[in-house]
Amino acid sequence: MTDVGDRMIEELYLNINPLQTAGKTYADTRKAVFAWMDGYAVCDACKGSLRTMDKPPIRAFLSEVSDFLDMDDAMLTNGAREAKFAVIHSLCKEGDWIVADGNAHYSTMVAAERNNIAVELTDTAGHPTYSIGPDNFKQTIEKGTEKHGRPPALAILTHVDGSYGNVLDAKAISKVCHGEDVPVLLNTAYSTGRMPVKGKSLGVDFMACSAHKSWATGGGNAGLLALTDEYRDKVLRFSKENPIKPLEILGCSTRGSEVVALITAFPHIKERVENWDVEVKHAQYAVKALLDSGGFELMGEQPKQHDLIAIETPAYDEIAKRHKKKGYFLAKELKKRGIIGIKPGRTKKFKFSTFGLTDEQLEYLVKTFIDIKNI
Amino acid sequence: MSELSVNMTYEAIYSLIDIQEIWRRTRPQHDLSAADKDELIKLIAKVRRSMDKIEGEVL
Repeated sequence: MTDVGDRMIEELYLNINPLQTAGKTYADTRKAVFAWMDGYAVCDACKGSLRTMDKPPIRAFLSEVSDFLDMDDAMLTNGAREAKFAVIHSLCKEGDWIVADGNAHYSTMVAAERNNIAVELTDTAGHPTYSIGPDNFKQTIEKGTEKHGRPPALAILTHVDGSYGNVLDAKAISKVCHGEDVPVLLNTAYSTGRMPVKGKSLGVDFMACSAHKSWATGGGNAGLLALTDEYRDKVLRFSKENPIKPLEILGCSTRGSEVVALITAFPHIKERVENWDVEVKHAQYAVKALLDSGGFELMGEQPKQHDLIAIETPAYDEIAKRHKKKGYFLAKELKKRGIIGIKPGRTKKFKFSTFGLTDEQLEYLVKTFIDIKNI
Repeated sequence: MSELSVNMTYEAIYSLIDIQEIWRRTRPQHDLSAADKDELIKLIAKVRRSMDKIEGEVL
């Protein structure tokens, strides 16, 4: 057997890497993946298209997940970025441009680049909140329209950004965009699957979801694109030669155990979004305890409304200056205490996530952060 | 065809995944509660039973 190394991280450590906390799988999912992991296993009872499969129940899942997201339809993609790419590819033509928030993920930029579509980013309030509001979008749409000679073909909103964990006011921003006849795609990579999000109530036309990031699906290639009736025919269009195959996902997207993982995670997702208030309380508790202890500063909006927390840590940076392991002391001290997920070498600032921690684990994490200041 | 043995293989693996879940739930200190210990005992017994059945059927 080729030795790729053991991981065992999720059993031995509190993993606080925001990229991973909500993609951690439930036992049900790991059992299902074990049984369905062989190549094309989900195609045992194929009827020609992944989205019409009844065994495993993909058709029923897509219908249920559309309702869950308060949208009209959904398709499986290989991730949120592929969902964004599909919408840009369907809606934009040569010379068009897109407006996006100044905290947008790089995958929004590369999805546009691969389509040869320019992106104009809004300003943010800058340090320390990095807030973005409806006015930022209004200004960028005006400036961009002047620059490109036409309004944007699409607005992409990062519902929760991956740098500061700010939650955008998607409803207010959608209203501004729709006022300019600009359709809205909500990138929910850090929101759906963690917190309740109702697409049509927010006024968005599309939702890009990351199953491996926020839907407890594990792996790295499962997502969803949810959409409204208005855009169904434009985006969920089918091949002329192979009329059962949706074009934007090249027929069938996540055609392996990933879709089984997503289906088995879904009952847990429905349950856990109902406890979002607990997750927010946990994040607020951690921030308050750290700020009260001194030597930490929050980046991003206060009060926290999301589990992704970005902090500046001058207290640790001071230690790094005199410590023999320099900046690596922090990751080493944390690991010694059973905590991982901070990039080794970083002591000026870092981000972490409190998602999914029990009260006891949260208390342990906060206490450990504070204790390390005193080594 | 040893369908029973195949079933028991899956049952043992699923029980081990449930044990894995206990480690995940109680990380990083693994201070198991009385309920956790009871669950662990039952799961270990289930794995042993599955192994015994495979041994009984095939060997």
